[in-house]
Amino acid sequence: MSKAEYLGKFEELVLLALGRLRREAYGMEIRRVLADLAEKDISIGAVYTALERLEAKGFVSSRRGDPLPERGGRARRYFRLEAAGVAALQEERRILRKAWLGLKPAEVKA
Amino acid sequence: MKKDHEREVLRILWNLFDLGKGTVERLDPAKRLSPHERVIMSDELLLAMKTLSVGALREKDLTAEMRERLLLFLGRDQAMNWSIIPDSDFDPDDPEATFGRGPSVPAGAEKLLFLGLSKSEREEQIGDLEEEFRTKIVPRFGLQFARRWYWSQVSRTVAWAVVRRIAATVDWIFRLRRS
Repeated sequence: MSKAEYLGKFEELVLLALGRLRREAYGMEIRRVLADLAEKDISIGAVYTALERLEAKGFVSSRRGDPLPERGGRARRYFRLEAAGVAALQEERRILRKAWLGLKPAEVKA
Repeated sequence: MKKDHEREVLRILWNLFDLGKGTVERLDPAKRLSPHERVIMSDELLLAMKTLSVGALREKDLTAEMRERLLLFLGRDQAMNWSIIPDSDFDPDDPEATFGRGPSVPAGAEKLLFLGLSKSEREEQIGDLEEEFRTKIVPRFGLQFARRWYWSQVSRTVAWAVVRRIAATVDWIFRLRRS
């Protein structure tokens, strides 16, 4: 796996959050799902940083929506999971399953 | 359909401010509403004002009785947050826009966010926080909590942006030294 295709732990969670939403979503929606998955509060800045990186890798794409009054006239930026992102998630899952194969969590000791 | 909706909206306004003649059943101003009911009624009031293009309620337009009724009806927090807009914020040429602004985020925090983020990050991040503040946090937890929430989000977002910039600068220096 090249560096460009490498998926960090947080990036993987962001992709999974998008996958769970099953539609295009904007930053705050993704953040909410992420906070549930990671079981902690996550800053919106961290979410956007990960999304930018994922977009540069071709795993997600984005588009701007219309300006909305409740956002002070600013537009939402919607993100969509791309086929490359799905493939990257499946690859990560395959590697992790292989790494855990035949190993019970209780057997892993310091 | 639209007529029915407008009638309902008018009923709410009548109930609140005695704007109508006695054909509608008035709400008992002493009736105690649960916080959930207050939020619903507050949203209805917002919708009512928007639909009827009333715009926003200006402080000076409210009689003492109206204010008292509004506070009883919606609860102090909701009434202050959603419905009464200071004269300084009211734009008589564009009442809809004034109305649409709703409760405002802490100005200092917004400025900090604006300065802390790069131009490309501002649109979505400031917009996301503002939308969450207005549509989720204020109606659910009230203005005071929402303002604290906004400050905490801003400080974390700006701290994150600063750390990222430092990391990018260090990375750039390393690459420069290597080449």
